[in-house]
Amino acid sequence: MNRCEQTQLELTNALAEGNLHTPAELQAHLRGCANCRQAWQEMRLTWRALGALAEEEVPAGLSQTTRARVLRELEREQANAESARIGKSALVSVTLGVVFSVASVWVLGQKSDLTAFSPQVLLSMGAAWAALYAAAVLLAMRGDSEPRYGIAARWVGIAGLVAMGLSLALTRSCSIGQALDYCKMSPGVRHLFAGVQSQTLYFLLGSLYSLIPLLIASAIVGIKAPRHPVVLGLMAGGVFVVLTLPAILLQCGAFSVGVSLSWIFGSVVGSLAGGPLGSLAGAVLGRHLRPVHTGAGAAT
Amino acid sequence: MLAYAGGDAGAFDELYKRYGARLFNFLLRASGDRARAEDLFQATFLHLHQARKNYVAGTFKAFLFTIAANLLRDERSRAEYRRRTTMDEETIEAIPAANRIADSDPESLSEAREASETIEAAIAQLPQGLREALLLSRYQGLSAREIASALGISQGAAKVRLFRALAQLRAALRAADKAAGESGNE
Repeated sequence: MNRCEQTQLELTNALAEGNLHTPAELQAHLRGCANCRQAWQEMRLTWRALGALAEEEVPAGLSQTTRARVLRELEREQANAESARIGKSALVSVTLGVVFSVASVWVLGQKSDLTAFSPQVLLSMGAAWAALYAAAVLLAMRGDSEPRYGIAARWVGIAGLVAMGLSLALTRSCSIGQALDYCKMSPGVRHLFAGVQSQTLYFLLGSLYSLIPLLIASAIVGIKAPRHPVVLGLMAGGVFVVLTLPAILLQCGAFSVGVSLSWIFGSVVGSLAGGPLGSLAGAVLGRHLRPVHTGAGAAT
Repeated sequence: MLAYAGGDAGAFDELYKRYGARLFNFLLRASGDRARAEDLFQATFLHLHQARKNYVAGTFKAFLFTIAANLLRDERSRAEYRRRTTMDEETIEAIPAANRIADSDPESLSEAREASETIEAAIAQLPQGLREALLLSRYQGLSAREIASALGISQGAAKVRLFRALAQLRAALRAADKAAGESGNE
């Protein structure tokens, strides 16, 4: 490549890069070389002429087909990814459901006599409980975290599971049977419950044993999800009742139907009271804990 | 692009609106064949879709046109198409720089600007490698480094291609001017 070609190459690239000022050494060459001066002028004219060419629009049919194909691919990928996520969630839910069920039966076995049940019945109840736990875990994992139709499904599942954990912890430290014995036999309080029927006591204790865990769990969740606290609390109470039902049935093995129903009824009442109350308390607490946005610069 | 890579369909629409026509015009001029340009247009966006996870923050334009240039190159590798349009490096190197310009008239080049058909024809006459370099530079604003990356050549080769493309184009426009002048005299 001779000097003129080299100069024109550099001028071309200066043009392409948008450098309007040619370097001093190129200018020196241009001053002394009529050919390159001419070429430089032509280059600029050609470059400008190229820029004046009209651009075509993409034909409508082609545009539509291309966009549709890509968007279809995108949807297909998203559907596959969603299926994979659901499959993974289902596996995690079932695994956790089984683990929670076994752990729950073990906790109850520490405090209640489960020998009243045959191994088949125990296994069936354990399996049913695992299914309920799995459903609650799935709800906690896959449910919407923002309210839809007034319910933040994820938080409902989380509240129900946390309440269930607290309930088992409460049972492990002091079961309802132990609490009942304390009420009936402790010298300090037994006169208070003298004459109170067992069914009533089971109703009261069942309510209390549901209300306390649900109050705490809903309050914790209410801080994170303050919208629609009553609905959220009621739904969390519903989840908790469903989860706690196998625990009540396992502990009521030797009890009459009346006592069992009183306990269950008490649990329902305690849950439906504890959930909304806890959620409301959590929502109020959350408002105090969250930093307040003053909206500086807004209307004065 | 990063939003699109994350699966945002709206982000794809935005990219399509911004680059669709530019890509189509590039492919139209680079391939010189409307049907092929349409096929390549679709193929580029589908390849972009598949390759979007490999995109690292940078110039999206260079990423898109690298895909398009690669597809063009693949297309050229088909025997028949190669026979008609490709020109290997050796041939490109042998192209004269067209620096004998003593008899040219700049004003007539200016007139040639009006005749877009002449320019389009001159672009279509360029060898493939030169044409792509020119189109990527002039219409897509890619730097020599980006052109080199898109065409799989060195940066120096990209600069030479651009220079030779412009030189050939000037020569073609001069020839067109001359032919027009002669027919006018008759």
